[in-house]
Amino acid sequence: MARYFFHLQDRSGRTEDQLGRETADLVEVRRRAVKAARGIIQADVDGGVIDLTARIEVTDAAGKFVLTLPFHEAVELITAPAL
Amino acid sequence: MSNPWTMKMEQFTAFSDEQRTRLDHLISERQQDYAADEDILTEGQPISECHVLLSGLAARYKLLPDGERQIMAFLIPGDLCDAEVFILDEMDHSVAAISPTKCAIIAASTMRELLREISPMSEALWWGTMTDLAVLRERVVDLGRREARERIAHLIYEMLVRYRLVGATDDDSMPWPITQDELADATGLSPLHVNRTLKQMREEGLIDFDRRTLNVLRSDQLREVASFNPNYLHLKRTAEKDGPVAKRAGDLV
Repeated sequence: MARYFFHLQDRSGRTEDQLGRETADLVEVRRRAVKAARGIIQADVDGGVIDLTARIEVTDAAGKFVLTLPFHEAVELITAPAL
Repeated sequence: MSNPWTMKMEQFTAFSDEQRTRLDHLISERQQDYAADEDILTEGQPISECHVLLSGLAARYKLLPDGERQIMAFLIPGDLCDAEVFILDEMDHSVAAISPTKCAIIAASTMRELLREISPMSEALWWGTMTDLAVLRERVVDLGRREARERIAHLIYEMLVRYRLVGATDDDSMPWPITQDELADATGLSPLHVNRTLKQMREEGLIDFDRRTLNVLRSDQLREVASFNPNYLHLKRTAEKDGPVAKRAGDLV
């Protein structure tokens, strides 16, 4: 377990995570980031917006970047019917 | 000054001096301290005594098989952790201290005696249990129908009203040891989402944080964002403007 900080960069600016969260490993870090991104996209849809330009940046306790998750990687986007 | 349990139930009825003394006595016989994150009650444990929160903050929660936690309620001073004691054999959920917390422990037999009477005190106990259930119903509405921002605003506004009722604050600031993770577990949102929403609310000048204190800067606007209707708290004496009790949260509801 190590503490990782999940920051959000989106159209409203940057939301810093100052507290962080104990997370088992980098696989779990990614799972959490994907889940959080999907939750935010979902809430945005309620307000009539889909913003896939946002990203989640995860840093470790030393401040080193360990993951960047662009929102478009958190969902599969289907805009035309499959042939 | 009264104990918070008495102060909470006073919203329902005015107690006589004799009744106040009896309530004070009930909570002074045994008390126990809990560290932050320590379980006060654990799922599966037999229910044999009643716990009344005297200071601190606790959360009623369930753990899911994947380790996720759902917080169903935040318990503040004056709240009863386990009204189930009279009927149910074991806890079907847990209650943990969020910050260092003190509880009064009342023997089940004593509480049973109290509830067998038909008195203002037994009625006030029922009133307390019923309003706790009404607070729980608001969480159901939160999860089903309220958007993230409204959900968080509602919870904050409600906490302020409840803290005021038990005399834990008399202005628009309140103790706030709740972390983003705990707020996330209570609202069904990710900590990141909670963080973004709190940041927006700070930027709009609705609230701000000072260490472990939350200041509501514009309570009227926060109330509007929350679409807060205080009817579910059943603040009878506040509605009737009955004595100084009514002034505790009168300006908020």
